[in-house]
Amino acid sequence: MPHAIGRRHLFATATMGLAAPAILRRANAADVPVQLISHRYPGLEYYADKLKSALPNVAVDTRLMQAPDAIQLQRLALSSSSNQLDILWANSITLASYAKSGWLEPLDDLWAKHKDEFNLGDYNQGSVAGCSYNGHIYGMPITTNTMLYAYRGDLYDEKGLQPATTWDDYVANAKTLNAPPRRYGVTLALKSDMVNNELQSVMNTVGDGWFDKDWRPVFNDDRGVKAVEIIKHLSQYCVPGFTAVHNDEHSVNMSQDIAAQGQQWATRCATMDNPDKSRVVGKIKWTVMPQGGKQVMISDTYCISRYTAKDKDMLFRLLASALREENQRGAAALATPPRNAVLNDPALQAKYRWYPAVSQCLAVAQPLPALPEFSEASEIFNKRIVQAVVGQMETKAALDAAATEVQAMLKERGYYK
Amino acid sequence: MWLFMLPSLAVMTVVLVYPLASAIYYSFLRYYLGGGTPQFIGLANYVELLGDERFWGDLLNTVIIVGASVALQLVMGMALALALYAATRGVRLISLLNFLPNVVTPVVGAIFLKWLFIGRFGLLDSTLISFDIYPPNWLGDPVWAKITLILADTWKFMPFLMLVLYAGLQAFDTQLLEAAQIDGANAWQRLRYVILPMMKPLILFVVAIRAMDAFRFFDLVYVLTNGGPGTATETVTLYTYQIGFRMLEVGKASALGVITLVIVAAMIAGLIFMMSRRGREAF
Repeated sequence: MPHAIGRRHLFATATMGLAAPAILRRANAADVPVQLISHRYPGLEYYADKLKSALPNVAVDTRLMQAPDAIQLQRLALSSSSNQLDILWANSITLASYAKSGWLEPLDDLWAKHKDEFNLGDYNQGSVAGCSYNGHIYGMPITTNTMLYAYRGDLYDEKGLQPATTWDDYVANAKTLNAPPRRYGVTLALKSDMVNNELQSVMNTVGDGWFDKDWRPVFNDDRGVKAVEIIKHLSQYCVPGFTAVHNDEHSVNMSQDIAAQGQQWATRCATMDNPDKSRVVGKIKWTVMPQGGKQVMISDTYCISRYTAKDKDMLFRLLASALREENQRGAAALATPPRNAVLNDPALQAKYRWYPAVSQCLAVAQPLPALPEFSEASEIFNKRIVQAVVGQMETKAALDAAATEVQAMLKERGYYK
Repeated sequence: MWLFMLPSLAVMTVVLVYPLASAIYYSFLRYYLGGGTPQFIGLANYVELLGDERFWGDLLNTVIIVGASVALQLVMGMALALALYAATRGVRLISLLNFLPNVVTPVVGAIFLKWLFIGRFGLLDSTLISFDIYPPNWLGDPVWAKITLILADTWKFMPFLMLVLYAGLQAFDTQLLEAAQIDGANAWQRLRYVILPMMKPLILFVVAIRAMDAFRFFDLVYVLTNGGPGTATETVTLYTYQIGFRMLEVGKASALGVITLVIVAAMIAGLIFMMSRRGREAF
């Protein structure tokens, strides 16, 4: 009986085994689609879809999820210098953090090279600034999002109420319209990272903001305590379960006639007038938050990983193609366009009735502090703020504890030298 | 013999020994994922954690939630197992339906439960309000949020206990029950003095397995409350996740992982000791 495995077989197998990694690597480089990890809301879903067809022969795999999950995955990939992530969604906060860590590709040269081809001069400067860190461009603007004071115009008229110009009026309006369990006076979203977004306006108008110029916490001073006390008072008239509510549930509360007012992202306005998703079509109005707004403003952007194995010029062209003017017009209902040609188009301003309010709100909005460690700091003080709002701790004690913890963390990261 | 064991040893090394050794190594470092070079700091992470009020609060939360949910699961699982044991019809169908929550992927189950418990428009609230019953704040009140998590964990894992206990009852010597019945023992006395003593080793076994599993409680609490309101439902595993993946402090998160491992190992060692003692008594 002949041997089943001869020397030739062994040699052939060994040769194939040795060659396999090289063959597979070559196949990988050519075939593996561009990988995107992104947050998910209708505007980002639209652009993720556009990325798939932006360039011929360039396949894109999109992984869309809630912001905290997306950020977690991105950090894991970037901190391990993985080349498995090519492009990523970032906002102003994460962009600063990633850029400071050296995880993002600076786009200045590519921006200059392709400026004319993709009419990049049309981007408004505020949006480009929101995608920059230390004077370098790191992202391509998708939208600049802000929060609006959303209220039920019909209910306000019925009760003879005016949009609140002070926080006391805002609480009073919520109290007047509070009729549980049928409908509540207000909706709040205090889950996870939404806490600092919800409180940005009250902290900037009633309080002194989050940090001073040396990055020392000021949210625990007397005015900061008063700001959190206002939210605590407001929460009496809020849809229950607000500590487990993020953007999706918050939108449902407004669109399903469960809440009479609340802060709402500009990207969620279109849903309110979508008859397939809303019971209050045409009934919601928008304006600026009380006492001059100063509410949150966040630029959403696409960035290129420094560790990608793909051609960076190709990736830049992919992003620029997906975000070209024609596509931004298509997304005008879903996201505030960063291109002037689209944003200032009178026809679009007339078509989307929340656009004038968005423009007003953007004019008075304030970005979150440009602290690269803001995500980590907010992770600490957001918990403490919620403990104060639900009465687990006294407000002053909770904010003092948060300030001590944040300072300790920042000191460890090299601040206050 | 060793050749046969090599594949499993290799797999164990890659998925168990290496990560565990890495975690122990990292726990002695100040290692911030966002940048900088890791620094050796000895036991400083452990000292910091053991002096951290939040860690002790989270440990208490974990013990309360795990203790209450495992106790509830045991009582309900035993009751259902006995009911099935006594039933003459539809046993397979009932046990199949009861087991369904256990086969649902934990995160999917948690999302389903979230839409059940979410304030006002959740299925539970809507139903109760339609009967003019004012529902509690399931996920937003510190006490109710804990109760909701205990109920959610019970819904998900009670079927496992039920099935194991039912299997144990199936192997039960019915002559003992018949003898007790002839001696005049009523149903409660048969349960108290015959069934439960015979089932003790199995009960301890399933409690040990469930307690070990429940101590790693993460999916349900992450989706339902994310540890909130505040830190009212934050468990040790969720705190580890917060430190590691939100604060990016790999060294401190590793130290907390090692502390959790030690606590669970001590708990399981205690239960195994009890099992072996009870086992000797039983046999």
